[in-house]
Amino acid sequence: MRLARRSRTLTVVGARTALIIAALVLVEALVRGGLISPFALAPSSEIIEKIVGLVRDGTVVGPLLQTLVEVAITFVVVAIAGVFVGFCSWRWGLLRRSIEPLMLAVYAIPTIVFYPILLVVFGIGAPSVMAMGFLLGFTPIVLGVRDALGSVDPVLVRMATVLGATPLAKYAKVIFPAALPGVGAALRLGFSYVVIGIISGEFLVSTGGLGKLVANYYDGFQVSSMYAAAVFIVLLSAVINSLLERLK
Amino acid sequence: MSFRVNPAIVLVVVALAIWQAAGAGTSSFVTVVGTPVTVARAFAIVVSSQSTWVNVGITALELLVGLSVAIVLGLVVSLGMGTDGIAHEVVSPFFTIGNTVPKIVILPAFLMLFGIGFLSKAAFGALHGVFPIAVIVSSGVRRVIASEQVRAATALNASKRQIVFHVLLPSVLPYLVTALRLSVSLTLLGVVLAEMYLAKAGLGFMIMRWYGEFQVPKMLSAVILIGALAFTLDFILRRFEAAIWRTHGIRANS
Repeated sequence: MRLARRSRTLTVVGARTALIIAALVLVEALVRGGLISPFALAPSSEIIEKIVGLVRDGTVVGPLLQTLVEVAITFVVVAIAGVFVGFCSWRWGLLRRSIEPLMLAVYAIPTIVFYPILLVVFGIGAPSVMAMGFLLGFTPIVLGVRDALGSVDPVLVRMATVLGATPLAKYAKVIFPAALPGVGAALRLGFSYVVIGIISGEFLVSTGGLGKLVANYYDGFQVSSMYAAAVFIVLLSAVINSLLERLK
Repeated sequence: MSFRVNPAIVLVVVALAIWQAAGAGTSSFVTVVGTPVTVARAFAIVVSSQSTWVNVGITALELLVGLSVAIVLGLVVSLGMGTDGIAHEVVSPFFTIGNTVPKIVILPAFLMLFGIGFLSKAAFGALHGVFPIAVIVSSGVRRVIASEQVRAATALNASKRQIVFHVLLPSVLPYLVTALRLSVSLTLLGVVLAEMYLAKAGLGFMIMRWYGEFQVPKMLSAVILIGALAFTLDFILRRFEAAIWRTHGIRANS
């Protein structure tokens, strides 16, 4: 049984690797074979070479650090604000009924359309970019935290009351621990939204960061560097997201 | 008849009133952004202009084309990987993770491959829209295949074809509608993003043009238009989704 599962895992990992290699070969062949112009797509080998170059010669370090700092600060702020508002909207029905329809409405709108408003208010630079990350991350955290608290089994709470728990103990020992997995999921989702918001803002209008790096290469017609930076960002966020996924 | 005030509407009205009242002062925020009244005036001008509706039409068409591509691709992927356990395990992480990475950084690739214009905008929309369909519908297919309906149909000697058309597809329908709602808002996001970056037409283009010209009330009017479009589509699809889950949803057996 265990052996069977192991061979299944091997098959899956092998198939995934094969898929990735096939995609790389396809891209290489399309460009080398002249089916796609080298001004539109770079061969895989060149992209990989440039990624190594970006990391080795330190080009990526400055933008990477800037983006990471922006993400870190924004995530801490949005996590605190989102958990707080999520808690309040779970606790007080009036607040929930006032803000929830608005948040759901905003959720349906492509949030990036608010970015120019942020640019007008905060100017071009890190504050606008971070505000964009905040806007994108806030709603999923608030809604997720409220759902997590709302789905705590009322039997547990009643049980605690019967056993004479003080209100404080009820929160600290029963409600919060029970809601923790849901809150964690909300924060994880919020994190990837913050990253998306910040890199989108950087890419559209900004003064620096990873998103700006790609936009600069595009403006300078540096096709292979542009692909290298884009692939680097996608891989980086995929790795971070799957690490966070594993954390649960 | 009891009269109940919707607190969300009260909140919006209060916020607008504060914004308008701030306009009486001389805060720099208000001189740049305008007041609700100046924005409303700009909105009236914007919606009475014919070029606005040309741009709305372009965005809507890009959304429609992008969405169609996303649905077809998403369904092909879902049926392909949903009906096979191993294939699902192999491919689904690409879609789950792809859903959470900042796809904007590959927008230049779309501009280079499809050119600046309609095609790249619709394709970029499709790129955003395909993920929820692939993820949700394929998990729906997995769930339906494990359900009693399929076992019952197999026991009754239904052919594979009959199972797909008479059991699988009708049971997957609710998942498709849920996925469709998310896909519509994400495709719109992709389309608008592409319009905001480098385009000559569309609602996103209008926003960035008026941002560049510093015509903030007009820019806000375009934001309101996109918001209204997104909200209306979401509202209709939510209704539809609720109705279809009521009538078609399989009872959870998982």
